[in-house]
Amino acid sequence: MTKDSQPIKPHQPEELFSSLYGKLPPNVFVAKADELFAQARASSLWPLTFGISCCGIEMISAYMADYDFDRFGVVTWPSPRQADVLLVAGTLVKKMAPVVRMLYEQMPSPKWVIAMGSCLITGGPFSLSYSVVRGLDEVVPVDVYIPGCPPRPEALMEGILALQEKIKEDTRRARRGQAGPPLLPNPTYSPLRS
Amino acid sequence: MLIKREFETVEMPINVGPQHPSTHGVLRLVMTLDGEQIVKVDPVIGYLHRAVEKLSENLRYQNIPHLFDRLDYVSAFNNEWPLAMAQERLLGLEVPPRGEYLRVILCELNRIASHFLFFGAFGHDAGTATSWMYGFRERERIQRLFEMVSGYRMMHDFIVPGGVREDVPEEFVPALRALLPVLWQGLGDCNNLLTENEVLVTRTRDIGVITGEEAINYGLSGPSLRASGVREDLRLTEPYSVYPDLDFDIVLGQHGDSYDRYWVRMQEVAQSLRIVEQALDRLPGGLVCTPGLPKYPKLLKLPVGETYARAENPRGEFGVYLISTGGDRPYRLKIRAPSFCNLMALPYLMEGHYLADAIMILGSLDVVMGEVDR
Amino acid sequence: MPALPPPPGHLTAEALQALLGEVLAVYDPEFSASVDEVVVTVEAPRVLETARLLHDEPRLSFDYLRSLSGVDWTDRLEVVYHVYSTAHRHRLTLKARTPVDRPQVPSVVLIWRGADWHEREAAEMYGLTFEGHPNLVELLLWEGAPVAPQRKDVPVLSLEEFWKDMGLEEEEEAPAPEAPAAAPRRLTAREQKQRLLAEGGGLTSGPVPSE
Repeated sequence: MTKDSQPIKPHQPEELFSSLYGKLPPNVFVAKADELFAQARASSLWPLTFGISCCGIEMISAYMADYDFDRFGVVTWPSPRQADVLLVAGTLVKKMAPVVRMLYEQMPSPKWVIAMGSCLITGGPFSLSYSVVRGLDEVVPVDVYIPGCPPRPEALMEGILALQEKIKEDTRRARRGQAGPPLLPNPTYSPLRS
Repeated sequence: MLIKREFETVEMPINVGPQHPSTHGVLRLVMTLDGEQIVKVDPVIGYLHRAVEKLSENLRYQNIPHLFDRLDYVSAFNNEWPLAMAQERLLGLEVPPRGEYLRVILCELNRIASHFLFFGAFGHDAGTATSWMYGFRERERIQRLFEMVSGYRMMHDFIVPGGVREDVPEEFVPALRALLPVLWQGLGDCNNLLTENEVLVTRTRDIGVITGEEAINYGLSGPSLRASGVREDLRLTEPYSVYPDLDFDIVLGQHGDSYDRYWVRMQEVAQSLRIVEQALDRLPGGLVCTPGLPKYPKLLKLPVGETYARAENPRGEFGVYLISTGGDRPYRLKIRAPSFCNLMALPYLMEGHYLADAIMILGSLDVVMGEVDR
Repeated sequence: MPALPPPPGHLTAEALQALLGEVLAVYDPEFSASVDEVVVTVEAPRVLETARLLHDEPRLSFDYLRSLSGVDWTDRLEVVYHVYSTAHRHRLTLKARTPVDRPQVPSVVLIWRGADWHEREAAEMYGLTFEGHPNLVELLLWEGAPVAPQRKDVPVLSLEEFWKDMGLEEEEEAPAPEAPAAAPRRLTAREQKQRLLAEGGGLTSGPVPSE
């Protein structure tokens, strides 16, 4: 509540910080720290270059000039140590699952996972195969699923935008004390069990 | 002036892992290096093994193209054609001329799109980022045309035994005619960027040389074989469809090195554009699929028999060995994938070169792991 | 340009079969034909000498191995070689037959280097052993994979098992109480589908149920 005892409307910085308003120059922006960090993280997501199969080609199309991810701040990055998002695109096979797990663990927090393509949701067209892992969530916790075989680059863009919303929403929920999504992976999974 | 000293070196094993920006998919190379020179390289594949051959034994014939598209996922039309050819041979079907010409047009367009992707990836291996942009600009134009035809940008499921599924819409032919000069221009841009580029030539000339006899012994096919001077192009040496009526040249390299493998592909784009122009001029009217076959064959029963049908894919000879014991499912469906056979020559090509050259060699072979692992 | 004309050494199918009968008489081959190729079948121990003859004989000169596949015929295993001659441009299918209890075939990797990975794959998928192969380790499969998965006795997962695995089984519905007789209500999609199936139609034929 302000000194004038008026109700606080959200996103009205003049009322929230009326003690500062008018005393700061107009090019100074005031915000809550965690919302600012969430906005910064969401606006500059660096996915790990991880195209496995067909969805990877549509992912590359999304990075290229026609659909251009760079304007969302999304720059593909080859090293997991500097990447934020594990954007997996393609069929996950039991031989590859430990590699995905290792890369996920090499990424520093905060990190998110996008599963692109129906092969990573339930196994896709290859779900009856003896060698396919039925979904990426058996290996790493997934934040956004993008259905399609392969999803169009516009669908991938929608997934990235949904992840941006999720990052900001998770911050708000954490501040309100609401439970967020589980951050710890399932420790009992064994990807090579056939 | 260089002072040479005798050093004792230790060979170091390194791993170019399945996740790497320049392994063209999930290929793992376990290399033993002496300094920067490669002593031994052992490719490890299987990181995309989806058991398509085993799954196909339980799928009806009309469902198999859905999986076949995803083998060489860069050029989907070219994968469906040998499968349809194998079924047609067993059934004794004649494809009407419009169907054949449409197949040729779509597959050659897909070859152009695939070679443009190769251009992007090859430039990326050499260190540019612009080549991706140029290559994909042209590829997107072609993919929009594909969307007009089959509804999909990439995985079409369109070539069926007897012809193609549906006739192309009316806007297709004028749109394609308008696109061809743009593609010629795009090819010119790509050539201006890389073909005479001093850096690329220095990095790829005399790197990864393989002679014609060695290439034949290894079972190489496609542009990688023609770059070594071997005159083998399935469209001409074992012609199928309407290729004998079309006028195009076979592109041969001379040295068998990585630069020639790149150069042969860029020239093949020009030849494919010629083929598409001629096919458009000659495109007849009429049916696109054998009459008598239902439009969406729900239950296709093949007689007993076996056949090996092959077509010239952008990467080489894509073969389908189909054994049928009657019934609506295949008994055995073996996929002869060109990238699988081309990749076998990789240790021969790479050993003795430096690590930076190794990446160029792998890029020049143009492998797609979807069909290597199947 | 029109197709390149066949070179002078090219043999038609009959001529090829005649020449093969002459050259391979020692190995007691069986001749048959697929839709477009001559097929020669020999017993597995003889396939190495047969392949060497096919490669070295100048009138045959089969220098290009297109494909090497394993086939499981439940009572025997076969290895099928598709070979091609770049000089004469004729082609041939060679089959090597081996019993299921002793699946051993000599390796042809010294004749055609391109047989290397094909043999590794056939070995792990069918449980074959290629004698003389320098590096017969698994290629596509991983540790803990099913043994010889492409054999016919290893089944593919069925849809029902898949649904059970994913936890998507349909629950048993309790019978709904009798609704009072009222104006005929619209059927739900599930009931329309059941009615359609009961009438003998299917989802791939008959009229599409309208909403």
